[in-house]
Parts: sequence; C-alpha cells; structure tokens
Amino acid sequence: MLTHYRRAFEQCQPYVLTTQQVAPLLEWEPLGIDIRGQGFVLDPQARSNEKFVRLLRNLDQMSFGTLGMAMPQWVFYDCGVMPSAIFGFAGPAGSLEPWVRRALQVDDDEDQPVPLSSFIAIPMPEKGAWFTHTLCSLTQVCAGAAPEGLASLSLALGLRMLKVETLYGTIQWRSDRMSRFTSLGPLEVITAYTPAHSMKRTLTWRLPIRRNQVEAALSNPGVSPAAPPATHMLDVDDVDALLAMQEELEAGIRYSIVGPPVRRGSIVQIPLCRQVNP
Amino acid sequence: MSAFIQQHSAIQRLEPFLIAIPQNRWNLDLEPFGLSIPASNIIDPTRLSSEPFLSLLQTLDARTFGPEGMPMDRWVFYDCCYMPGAIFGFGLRACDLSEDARQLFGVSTDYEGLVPYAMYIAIPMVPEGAWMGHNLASIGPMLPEEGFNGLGSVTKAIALRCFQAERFYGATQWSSKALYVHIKFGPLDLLTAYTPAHSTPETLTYAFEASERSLLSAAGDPTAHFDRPEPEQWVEASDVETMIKLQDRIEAGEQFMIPTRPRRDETGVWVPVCKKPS
Repeated sequence: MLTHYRRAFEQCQPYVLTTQQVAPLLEWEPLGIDIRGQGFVLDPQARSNEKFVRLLRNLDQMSFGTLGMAMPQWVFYDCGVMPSAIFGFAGPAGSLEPWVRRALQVDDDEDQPVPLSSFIAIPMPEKGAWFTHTLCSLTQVCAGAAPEGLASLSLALGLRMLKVETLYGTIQWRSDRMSRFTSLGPLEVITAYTPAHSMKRTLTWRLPIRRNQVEAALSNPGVSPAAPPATHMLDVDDVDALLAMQEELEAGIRYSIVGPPVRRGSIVQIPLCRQVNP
Repeated sequence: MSAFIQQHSAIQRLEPFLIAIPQNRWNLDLEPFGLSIPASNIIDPTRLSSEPFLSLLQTLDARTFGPEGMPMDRWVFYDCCYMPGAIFGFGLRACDLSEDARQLFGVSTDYEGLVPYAMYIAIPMVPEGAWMGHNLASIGPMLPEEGFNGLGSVTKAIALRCFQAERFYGATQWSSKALYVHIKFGPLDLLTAYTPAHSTPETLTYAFEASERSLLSAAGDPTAHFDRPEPEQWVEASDVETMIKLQDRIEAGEQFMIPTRPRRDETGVWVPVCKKPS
C-alpha cells in the first residue's frame, strides 16, 4: 500500500507537533509506520521549536493566504496546538531548492527540518468525530518542491494517529482539493450554501472513516469503491442550484458527493447522489 | 446551588442561547445549573435562517476584540467554533434593546430576534472532558449604565457546565483584563509563561479543574471559595525576560500557579506567581 510513497519516505520524515497532555493519547504506529522511530516529535510549547512553528506558519500562509484564509497564529495555537496535534512531513532545509527556501523564508541552517505538509483536525463533542482544520502541502503551491502525494499521506496517517471515526470538513465547491476527500468515500453534504462562512459557496461535509477505504485511497486514489452511483451532476457555479439544494437539505433530503469534480473548460461539475428518506 | 446562578442579577433580563450543530448536542447539558435554554434559542449554524443572529455574534466579537487586533473572520467562527465546538451565551430581544445597544450592534429596525449580549466559545480537546477556551465576549463593559456587571464571568461559568467540561485550558496575554475573570475559577495552573506559537508570545497558557466549586466561585457565590497560595513573585506584564526565565523553568519540569488576581499600579500590570503546592 505504501510502496507508491517510497520516495516520500526517502526524502522526508513524518513529524508530530503535540503537547504533553495530548501525546499519550495518540496512535504512534499508524498504518505500521513507527512515527517515533522514523520521524520526530516536537513540543509546540517548547521555546526550542519556535523556528519549526514559524516555518509551519509560512507554509500555511503560502497555501491559504491567496484565499484570504491564512490561519492567524492565535487560531493555530488555540484550535490546533492546544486541543489536538499537528501531523505532516518535513525535509531538511539542505535538501530544498534555493527558490523553495526563499519562498518559505528558510534561513541558512542546512539541517533545520522544514515542514512540507500539514494536517490538523479538531476534536468535536460527538464521540470519535473530528473537524478538518487544515490539510496542505507545499506541492499544491510550488509544484515540484516536494515529493508528490504528501497531502494524501499526511491525511491517511493523521486520521489513524488521531483515531478518527467520523471526519467533518468544509471546502469551497470549486476547490481542486475536493478529490483528496472523495477518494476516502462518499461525502455526506451537511450544507451546500453556507452564509455563516466567509465564502458562501462553501459546503460542509461528513465522512465515516473506514480503515480499508483509507488504505484503498492511498494506493488507488480517485472514485471510492464505497460510493453509490451518481443520480445527477451539479454545476457548482449555479448559485440557485446550491440554494435549492441547501433548502432540500434543511427539509431532510440527503445528498452525497460520490466522486471527484469533472472539469471541462470553465464548467466544473460534481457527481451527486440524492436520497429522499422514506 | 443552582438557585444562586438562576438568581444572578446579571442574567435576570436575558435569555440563554446555545449554538451547536445537532450532532454535537448529545454531549452537552441543555439545562446547565437548571437554566432551561428555550428550544428556539438552540441555534443550528448550518441553517440559512440562523445567519442574522450569527452576524450579530460576529459584531459582538468585533466590538470586544477589534481593538486588540484579534477579531475572528467568518471562516474562523465556522471552522473553529460552530462546527467543532459550541457557543453558550445570553441575549436580549431586539424590541427590548436600549438605543445605545441598538447602535452598538447596528441592529436594523426590522430585526425582531435575539441580540447576543455575552458569549463563551470553547472546543473539546483530545483528553476526555478537557476543553479549550476560545473566546469570551460581553457587552457589559461597553454599556456600563445597563447593569451587566459580572455577565462575562457568569456566562463562562454556565457555559463550562453546559459543555460538561471537567478540566479547562485557556491562553491569554499577561496584560489582559480577562485574567481577572479567569482567576475567579480558582488558582490557575501555569502551563506556559512565554508562548512563541501564539500571535503574541507574551501569552500564558493556564488550566483549572472545572468543579462545581470553581464554577460557582466564578459566578460570585460567596459560599464557594478557595484557599489561595501566597504569591512568591510578581511578573510585570511587559517583562519578557522574566517570562522566558519562567518558561525555561517550566520546560525543565517545575510547576507554577497564578494564585490570585493581578494588580495594576502606575508601574504596570503585575501578575502573581507561585510554585504549585505538591
């Protein structure tokens, strides 16, 4: 299953940023990977790790700053560091191309580990449920800067480390990151149009996590074998359709996203399964 | 014990409210201290009809935290509060607002719903029963003539009961007036004294057991009090060097507390610190 990711493990190491309160409650050998042995563990509250935390902030800025949704540092602390743990992959500064180091504002320390991906989820009151706070990798903004597949790998291992049973998240309908999650199974749509979010054309989704589906997505990303057939395609730029769908959701009709977006020219469509409860 | 809370002067004119998605409500106490939250005031943030009230919450936050530069964007409210956590608070019907309050919130004349006067936001942490405090906002200090003294403290106390928090964590600046509220819950364990992972490194991280006595003490119940250790040193809120020395001692394994409230004088804000009794 992880054979395809050999290059990632050759060039990078997994890291976990976790406080002393949270560390004993994590799964330390997710999918057979010994995180303590093969990677490194950092305490985000220790002053000695300030540089790594700053680089993580730079990665987040590069990934989400253009959307106007870069994470304020206090949100990183209050919603990531304290309640949960941050998981991802890092490589030594010396292994990065000069332009990547400039982009991430890495200094001259060749041995400094540089975070290249990160996954943060926040626990919810619902037992076993987590909310996806961040999933990003350097390759999504700097193609070729890090091995391919780091985001998917960070997500798969992070889900196991945190013992996630149900995953929630938000994503913009037009996002090209949608397929990372549709690979894991059909996404139950909670909201289709979300005025309470900065971007109204955001959807909220829910996904029961099955270990076999996570492993299948790692070796064969795309359409999850667990997804039912689509009943129709949604044009994600049709705001009236999103509003109508939101009203149906509030009336009890269920929708699932059953595959990755299909892009043709300026049209983006998403396969949906509509279910009317008996 | 509940009678003291129910008869608290700050909440007599106000209605309690709760914002939580339906999946999160099962693990919350919907009658904290015997206070019944009207069904119409239990708000689902994923519904279109909730938007006007959620916008007013954002206004309350901006009025409270705008001057400190830490107001929350809508996506932070959605991704870091509504979905993974819960918000408990108190509000007043629009028709009962004073002209000052109406102007403060910018409430339109055709709005007839609830207007939030105080709110407390927290999210669960990985350790069971642990919650991380996120945001305390109250209109009390902005409308001193309206008699809402102590509204912030009593709101936080009832919120922690509503969330069924057993151990509570928070982060605040050494100079923040919020410390006067937090210390009402009893002596605070000091977990970090200098916090570069936060937007403001001069932030401290604290924790306390959210016991019945702690919550009632914060609400002002004279029968609930603590034996507070004597301060051994006073940290001035802008003295970074002392904070770093304290942080180094914490990282070396020493345990400290903030036993009592800060004091302010012409030389600055002074926060008491002592070693944690064994």
